[in-house]
Amino acid sequence: MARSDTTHDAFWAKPSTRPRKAARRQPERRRPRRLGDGPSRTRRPPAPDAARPRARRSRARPRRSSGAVDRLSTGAFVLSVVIGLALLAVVERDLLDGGTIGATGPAGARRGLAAQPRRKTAAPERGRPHRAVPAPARTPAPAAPDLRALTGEVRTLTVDERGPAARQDYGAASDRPPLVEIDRTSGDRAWAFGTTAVPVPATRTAAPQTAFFAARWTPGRWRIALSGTPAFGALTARMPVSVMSPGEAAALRRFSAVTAAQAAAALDGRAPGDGLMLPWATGAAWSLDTPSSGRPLGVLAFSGGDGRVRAAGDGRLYRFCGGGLVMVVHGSGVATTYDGLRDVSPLRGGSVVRRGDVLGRTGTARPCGGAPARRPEVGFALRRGADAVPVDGALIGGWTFHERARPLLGYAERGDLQALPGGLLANLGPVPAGTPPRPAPGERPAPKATKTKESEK
Amino acid sequence: MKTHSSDDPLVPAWALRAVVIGALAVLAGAATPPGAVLAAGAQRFLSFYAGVFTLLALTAAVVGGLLATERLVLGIRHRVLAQGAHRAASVLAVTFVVAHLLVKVLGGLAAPAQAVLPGTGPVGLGALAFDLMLAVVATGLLRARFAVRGRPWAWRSMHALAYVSWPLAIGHGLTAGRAAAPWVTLSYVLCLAGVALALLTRMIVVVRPREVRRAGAGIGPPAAVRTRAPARGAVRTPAGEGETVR
Repeated sequence: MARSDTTHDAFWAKPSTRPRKAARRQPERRRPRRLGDGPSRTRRPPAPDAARPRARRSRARPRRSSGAVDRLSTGAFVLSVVIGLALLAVVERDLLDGGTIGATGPAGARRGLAAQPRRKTAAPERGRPHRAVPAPARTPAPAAPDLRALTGEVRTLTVDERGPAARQDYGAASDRPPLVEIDRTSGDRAWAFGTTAVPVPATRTAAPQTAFFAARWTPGRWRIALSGTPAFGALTARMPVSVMSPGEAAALRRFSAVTAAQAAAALDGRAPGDGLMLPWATGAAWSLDTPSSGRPLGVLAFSGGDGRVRAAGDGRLYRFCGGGLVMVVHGSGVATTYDGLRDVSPLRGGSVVRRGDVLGRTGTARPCGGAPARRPEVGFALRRGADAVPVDGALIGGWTFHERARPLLGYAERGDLQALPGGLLANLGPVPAGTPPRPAPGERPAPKATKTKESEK
Repeated sequence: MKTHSSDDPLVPAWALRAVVIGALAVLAGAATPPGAVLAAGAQRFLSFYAGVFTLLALTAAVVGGLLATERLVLGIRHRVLAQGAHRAASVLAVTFVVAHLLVKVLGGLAAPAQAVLPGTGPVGLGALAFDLMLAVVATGLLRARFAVRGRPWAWRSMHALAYVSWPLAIGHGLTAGRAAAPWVTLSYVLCLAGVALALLTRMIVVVRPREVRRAGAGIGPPAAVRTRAPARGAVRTPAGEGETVR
């Protein structure tokens, strides 16, 4: 086709210097073309030009709109690449960890093991079969302290000593072997101290049965004692200072030795207690919830506020079940437990904490077992060495907690105020109880009221 | 439509190299403990949000695609923009649905077979929507091959499966996911209503296409011009007319 127009030649004669821009000009043609448009294509320049795009105003406008379209597509591709890299990392992590990570339920709850028989066949599912037969050990006595054997023996001992109480508290048998963690050992591994917990069945809500254990390696076997037994006090008394300081050992001995009567007296004000407050910031109001099965105040569930759970009193901090449950052992021997925490404080086990120190945040997962909560909550309960302490009658944060059988109800009250499950509790701090309580729901009102009415008639 | 070759690739070479280097860096970094924390965070984020983003991108794709065919209200420039938005949104939807399937299967919330086998339960609805989406995306990518033939409805009827896949995806999102807040449900209902309305106008245009006046349509046939040519004289005779005059 002859081009007699010199300006046309001059316009199109300049070679393209930036081929990329030419590639971007092509998308103009993305407009749907009819078949009859064939001949007009040859009139477009075969050599794309990027030198003077502004010379032709009629071309500038469609190019700008297709530039926006190209940016959309490029942005979509870039975002897809980023997501693809993130997925690559996720898959790699999953392969390396050999399982599913970040499950939304409590650890292991979905893996639904059948109920283990509670006698000696407590071989754990993680493939460490060290004690598959009862008492007569067929394996030769190990010459050096074996921590894996210790873990298995602590599991067995926990099931023997705490199994029945756990069965009664939870209302059903636990579906997993106890969770044992060795907190610290001596340099020669002859002394060990740690925590153990009986997991709650996945359908129940309860405060887990927990215990400390102290172990000493004598030639041939471990001597183990769980907290709440006299042997625990004896072992901790002889524990070397490198493993446990004398102050901490004394606190744990008190915890192990306190009786139910002493604990009740410390909590309801008859004896000098620890001045417990509710486990959140003073002045804030959180909502109270009680479990639907078991004792009405078996475990209290608090939620709301800023979600930061604080220590109810001064004491020493310990972690159970891999960090999900925190226990603070107070000076009187009573301990408070906080279940289901996230972002747990990284302090070492046995560290001293003060009333009001942040321990973690409320969460829905329950690493010690139990049904996951429907909203971020902290499961609050009281414990002593041998057993759980009933919250009935305890004075915490200015509120006195009560349990009633008819109607089956747990609630908190302070003078004329009452907080039923679902209600809000304001944390008043470590203050004494208010005025004498009103008649509890279900009891008949005091006769004084009817007398005045009669006299008025 | 532009076809790409190795001389003029779709993705420039430097971008491919950057992606490969990035993939190697991610593979190396995810093996470290801080990388594990990041990967777990990424998995939590995707497990929570990937489904939501898929549905949002799919909605944007359906709305964009429908707007790109809207001839009554929009001009050609707007339709090109809508077409570009449609493509970008569908790329994102595919990416997010793959991410969603992967994290749900890795999280143990669905068996791998449940991802593709349709069913009547909430997850089965999602699998059905995903299968239809695959068909829709395939026809969309192969659009050029359909365009050379003269039967647009062959392609349209297959790509229109998107109008079946999208409500199924919304149903899956509302039943299988977390309980939706009321404003979420309301927004999806409004989107469904809007798309239904636009589809109605689209059907009107199909049934009664508007008159397209072509350039030069007003000029009469060459016979009328022939009678005028001698009156003008021989000042200028176009080459084509010369034959007839002779």
